Amino acid sequence: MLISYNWLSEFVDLPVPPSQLADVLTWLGLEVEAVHEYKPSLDNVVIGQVVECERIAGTDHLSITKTSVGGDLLSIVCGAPNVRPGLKVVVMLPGAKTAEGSVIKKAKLRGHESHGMLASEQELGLAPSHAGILECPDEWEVGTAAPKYMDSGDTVFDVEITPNRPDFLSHIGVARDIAAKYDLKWRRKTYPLHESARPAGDFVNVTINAPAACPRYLARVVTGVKVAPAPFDVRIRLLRCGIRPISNIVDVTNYLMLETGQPLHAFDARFVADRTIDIRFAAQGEKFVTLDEKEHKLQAHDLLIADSKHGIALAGVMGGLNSGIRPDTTDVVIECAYFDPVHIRRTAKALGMSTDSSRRFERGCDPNQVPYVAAATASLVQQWGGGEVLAGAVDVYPKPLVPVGIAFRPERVSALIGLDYAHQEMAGILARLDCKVNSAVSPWQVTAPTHRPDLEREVDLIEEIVRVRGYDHIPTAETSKVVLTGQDDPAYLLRRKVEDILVAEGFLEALSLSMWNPEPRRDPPGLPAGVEVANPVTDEMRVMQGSVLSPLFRAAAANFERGDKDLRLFETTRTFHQGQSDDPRTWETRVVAGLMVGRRYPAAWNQPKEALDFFDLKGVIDVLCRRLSLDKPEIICYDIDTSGFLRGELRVNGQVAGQFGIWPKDVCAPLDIDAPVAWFEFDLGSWLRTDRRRSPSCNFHAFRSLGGFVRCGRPRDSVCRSCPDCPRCRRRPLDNCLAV
Amino acid sequence: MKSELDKIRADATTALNAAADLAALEHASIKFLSRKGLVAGLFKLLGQADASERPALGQALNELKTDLEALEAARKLALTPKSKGPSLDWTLPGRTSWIGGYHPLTIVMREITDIFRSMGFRVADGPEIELVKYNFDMLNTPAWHPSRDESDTIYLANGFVVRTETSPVQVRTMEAQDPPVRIISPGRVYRRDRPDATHSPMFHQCEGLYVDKGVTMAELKGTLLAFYRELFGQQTKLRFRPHFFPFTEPSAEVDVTCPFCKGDGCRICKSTGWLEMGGCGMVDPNVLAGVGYDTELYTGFAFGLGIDRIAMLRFGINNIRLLFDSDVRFLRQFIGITPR
Repeated sequence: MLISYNWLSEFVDLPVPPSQLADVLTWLGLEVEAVHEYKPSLDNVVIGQVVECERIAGTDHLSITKTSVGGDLLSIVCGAPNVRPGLKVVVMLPGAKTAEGSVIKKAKLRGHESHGMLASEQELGLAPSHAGILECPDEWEVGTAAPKYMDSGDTVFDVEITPNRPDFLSHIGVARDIAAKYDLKWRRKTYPLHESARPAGDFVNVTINAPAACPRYLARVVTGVKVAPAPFDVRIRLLRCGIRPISNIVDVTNYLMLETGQPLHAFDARFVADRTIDIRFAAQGEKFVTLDEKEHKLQAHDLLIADSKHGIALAGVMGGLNSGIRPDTTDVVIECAYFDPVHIRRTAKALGMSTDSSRRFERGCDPNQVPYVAAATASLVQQWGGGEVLAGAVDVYPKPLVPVGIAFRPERVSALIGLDYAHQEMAGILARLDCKVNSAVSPWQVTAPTHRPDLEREVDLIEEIVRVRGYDHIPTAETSKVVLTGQDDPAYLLRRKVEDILVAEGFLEALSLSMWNPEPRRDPPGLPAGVEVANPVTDEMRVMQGSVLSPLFRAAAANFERGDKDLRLFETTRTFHQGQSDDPRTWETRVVAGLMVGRRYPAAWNQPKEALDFFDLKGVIDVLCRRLSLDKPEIICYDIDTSGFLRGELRVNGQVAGQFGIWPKDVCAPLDIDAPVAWFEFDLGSWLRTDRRRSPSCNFHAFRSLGGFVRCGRPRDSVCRSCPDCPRCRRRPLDNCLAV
Repeated sequence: MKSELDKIRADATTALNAAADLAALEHASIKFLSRKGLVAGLFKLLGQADASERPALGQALNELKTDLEALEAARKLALTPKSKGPSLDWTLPGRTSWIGGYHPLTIVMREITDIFRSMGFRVADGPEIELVKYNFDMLNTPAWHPSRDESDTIYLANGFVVRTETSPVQVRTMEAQDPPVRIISPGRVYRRDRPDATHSPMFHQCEGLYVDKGVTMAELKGTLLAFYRELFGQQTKLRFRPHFFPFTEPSAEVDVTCPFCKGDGCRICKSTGWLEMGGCGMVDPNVLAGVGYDTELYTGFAFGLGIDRIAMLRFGINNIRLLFDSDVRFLRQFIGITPR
């Protein structure tokens, strides 16, 4: 939301200059993301009129103009698309300075002399540009110095509005909070209204057929208007606040929306069939074309403003292409309504449309402000476009919204915040926020204003008091109090220990994105896929990883390519799994995984140049088991083929607790690692689940060496195991299994 | 026997002294000092000696043996050829094993966690694939809140959400435990942000929660101030800016004085002197009521902070993607940095 300093100061005498307002807004809870300063530099800038205009041959956009500035005609080259004979323009004469700081000089362009520049809003430092050069009102006199017609600038604040504060989506709302904070008076503007004798009710009919979605609908009518550009200052103000000026009628609606927060819409009465407005839900599948010329297929929960025949506006979101203001519009029906936030949100979301109007209705407008805004609209339409305002309004508001009362105990403020506030001060703050406060009773009876739908509970009022009083007044309490409750999560502690051990074993800790995209040509075989994401950030992140080995392997390949060919990497993280096709369940596992590639020892003059092998891997597993005192660890290998492809599993207390193995060189080479890769991935959760108490007799065996520990008392060749993962010996569990 | 002893002493002394090289010395040493040598022979004769003489003789024999052994050692040293300077280049590097290292995020995460643990917070953990109930509903996130949108949050096909914050852990902990609850929940979180230099769809948070009788916002301020002073130095100052979070009321954003310029203004804090650190506030009564706590009896505070940003500030890392690339040239720079 763009907030103009000048506009704000029309409602409240601002306590600080523009340079300090950003701080004021910040401390009210409006985060200022950017500050735009508009300081027009208008020396040597005059009003002119284009007399002749000719496209320069051989260029696609340059024109040579003869422009009058009161004396001789100046020849000026201009590149704007909207330059044309008769247009009143702003001329920057040689010596004038643009907002960017460059000085205008006489120049020669494509062989044509140029004695100045036809300026845009941007170049003048007046406002952001929108369509080429600035088009001046016809009544401005040629030759007049520009400052006569233009203001001296403004400061505009780009603020982030939190979704709980619909009232901040208006200048009045922001002014109101500043007034509350500094104990100032704020005022609404008065818009004088000259109504004719003919009542609006004779001109238009309004029926609400969806009262839950549209609690209030008010229509006003202005006839005989002339569509033209809005006053110059208004157009500049709209531009500064991020709205493109369109025409006086449309600009009125946008102007008052920015001022009051109430979205408005104007219909051309010619296209409201039978002058009947019917607020109803769309028929399922009903087609509707909005102002932006897009056709939508509506659903039965979309609220539609219709005439006797068809839809004319998508309620609260956007008007229809069929009924908007046109250059020849004369009779205008003004819509000022209150729509239910839930309905507007659903429609806007389903259609993927977020408009200035829908953003405000979604958060909640003030239904009780409707008559004031509607009258202001009629007044401005008449002021800027002439015509006749029909008497009164057609206001359908069957069930007025009643503000809720809140019971408020002043002592709860200090209980929650840790600071005592004077009762009088609290009552004052609430009153300044337009709450009705009865502090004579206990608890206090507080009624929140209807423009603050976020105030529903006692705690909401406490927040208001602290916020307006200032968060810097909250004291800083000593925190010597130590409350010990429960234990640190054992999984967290185990993970730390595992990290310590592997770092001590010479591994570098890696950390990969847990979302990736499985691709057989980039990943080693046999890894679980993971869980698909419904709305991935990018195609490269479509799956929550089923194994960390995939990202680790890719990282190793990237390192390998960079010349780092001796790698010991590990990661503690989680993997994600899902049930078979008809099983919607998903679960996650805490794991530690690692990769080893390259030499056994760091390259040095006194170290043998040996490649690492299975026993280096096994050594690491052995160290992990011993230093974690895992219960009865067993390392079981399936020697699958002679190429060296080897897999195995670690069992802890008889339970499978993870996998390990070696991918031989011929598997890894196509995946960009020209060496065998040793890997392991263990389930930390299963390590936690096993009971760590061991019987003393096993203890001794287990800790001499894992290799020696097969199963107590049996010779190693007689160990009988099935290995379901081994394709070659599924039916002959003993023959090819090698228990090491 | 005494005379025999004297004779052997004399002979042995002569023989050892006379030996011209190590071989001759060895030969003499075998003759007199070996297990079957002449001195050993004397010890065997000791048994036949008169009982009254035996102690004195025994002592003399022992003396003989000690003296001869000392002489032999001295001769051996004398006969060993002297070394002519170092035979090796002792400046060559030693024999090392691989040297591992922690990831920078782990270093910072542990530091943060340990400060809070020292302040009586316990580490709690929960799943990364969460129910909408825990990630949004019970955190008082309104149905209309934009954080629920599919444009902001990652969902699975079965309707589960990939957690957007670690706050669901707080709800799970409160459901399982009566007050007082004093926990932190460090962990990974996910948002639907396109990756760039400062955004990653996966990042790390540490959130904290304290619910008990009489917990106030002043205590929240005190807790966070104590924490940030421990993390960034004792001169650190802190400020709360009003904000809105569905989970807390009142809510605040926390700024700390920039640890690089000490608040004077620099490039890192964009000349403001302050760095935005995260959100906090008093736990919304709806959240407490949702887990069955008595909101009249208990109040609580909650806070959160981003680990990745702190790690980037701490180590001068200018691109968040470096953290997740597993480039060993990057990771090796953190070898030797251990959590404080």
